Amino acid sequence: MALVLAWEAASRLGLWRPWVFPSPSAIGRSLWSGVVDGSIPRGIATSLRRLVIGYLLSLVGGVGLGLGLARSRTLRESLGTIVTGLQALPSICWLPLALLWFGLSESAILFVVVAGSLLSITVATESGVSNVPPLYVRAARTMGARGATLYLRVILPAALPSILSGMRLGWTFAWRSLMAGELLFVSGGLGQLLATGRELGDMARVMAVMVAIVTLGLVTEVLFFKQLDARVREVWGTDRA
Amino acid sequence: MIEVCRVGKRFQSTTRGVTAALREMSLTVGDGEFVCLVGPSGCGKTTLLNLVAGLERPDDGEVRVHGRPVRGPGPDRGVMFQDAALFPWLSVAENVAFGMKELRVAKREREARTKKYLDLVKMSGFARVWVHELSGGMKQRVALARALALEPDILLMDEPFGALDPKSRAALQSEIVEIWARTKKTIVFVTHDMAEAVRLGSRVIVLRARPARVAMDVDVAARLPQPRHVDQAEVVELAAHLKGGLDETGEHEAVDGESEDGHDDERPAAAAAGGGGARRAADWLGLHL
Repeated sequence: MALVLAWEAASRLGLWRPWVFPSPSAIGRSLWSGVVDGSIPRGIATSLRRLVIGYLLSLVGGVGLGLGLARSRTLRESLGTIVTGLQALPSICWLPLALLWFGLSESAILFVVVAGSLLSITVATESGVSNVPPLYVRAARTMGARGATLYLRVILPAALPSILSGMRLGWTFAWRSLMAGELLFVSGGLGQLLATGRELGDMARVMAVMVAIVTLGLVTEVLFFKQLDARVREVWGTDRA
Repeated sequence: MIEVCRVGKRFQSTTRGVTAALREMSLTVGDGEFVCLVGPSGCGKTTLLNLVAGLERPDDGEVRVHGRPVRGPGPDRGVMFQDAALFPWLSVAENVAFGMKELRVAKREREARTKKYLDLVKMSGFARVWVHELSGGMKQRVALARALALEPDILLMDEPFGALDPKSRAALQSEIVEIWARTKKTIVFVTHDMAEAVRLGSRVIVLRARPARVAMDVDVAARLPQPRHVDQAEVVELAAHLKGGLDETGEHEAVDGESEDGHDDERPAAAAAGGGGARRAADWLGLHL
């Protein structure tokens, strides 16, 4: 809070030109007008929809692929290096190809989001599944568990703490990919608001959108991931160790 | 009835090549027996138990349970490990119900049995607790309830009390004997602690190492009625005698070990191997071999 006040004071004293680094009150005004004229809520809705769809696709694909990599040697030998290598690639690099494959469409953006978050979930799932104590599987087999139920009732729950950390990471990567994609490729959403703010030289608008993004990030963290994490810690008893 | 017929099991290890954990092992456990398998570490007792559990496949020979060859693990044989291996993402009651759910036991029956077996192991107050909140002894009690809940006629236990403090161990020892007497289950109990074997078993089978062979097979129930106690003079004395016998066969093994390859298999197994120790134990028991 004190930081915001100091920032406001410094802006009013004219230590720098206001269009380079706007004051908090200017950002607040811009945010408000964006909310009132509906552009920010609409941007949030568009971006969130893409984010959620892309993220869910990544979640299903990433857990599936991670499970496959952990349990199948052939899959690991054929795809392991590719997965590690591609993980280092910023997902926005896929945009030109995605545009070529899917055109200027929703699918292209979704592809970039999935490319951004899929592999971090894959890698976390793979390591979680590989580290499931073999004794759990043996114990479950002596109680009649096999095949699919062995995966659903033993291996995946046992790997859950690790999968959860991958999900968290995947969520932030999905956000970043989405913003990069929307900035470069005009199709609505918060990223486009950033891009138009830049074109108009309206830094107050740019920073208002940044505030909106940060707020969304905080909200999902507090409402979703923190809760999940706390639950896992409570059940596993890891907060004591 | 468990029949182990001329079973062989080899392991491939990267450092030492192929080692035989079991060779030509034969053994029969009758219904309602409480058999303790004792022997030095590496004598193949755990391998033997895993073969009966169906967690491992024999390379030679066959294991039969109630006349049918074992093809894999199954709920007719409950298994307990040294580590309780409870699932940390489930509550105590859900852990006990795990196998019943897998076998599609109806919900009401499942709840009734969960309660019954948690009562039996004196853990009924902990049904809704998470696994990490339990002590080691409590975890093994829950693991026992979980194995019993599928109502197997055979219970296979691999050093289940090995990691417990002496007090919990003593408590669980008397309870397992009590549960055995009450439910008439067949129990195969692996341990490396001779006193524990003598304290628990109606029959104690002493194995010697690599490849495992039966060194001594002693009917304890005939001489020492339950309840017994680990500190009881007769228990201590018999355990010491058996141990002495095992050490003797151990030396025997070491001498033979030098000419390991080849004629090893023709060695008159139990007679020569168990010889001195078995006779001594038998003398002590007043039997004649």
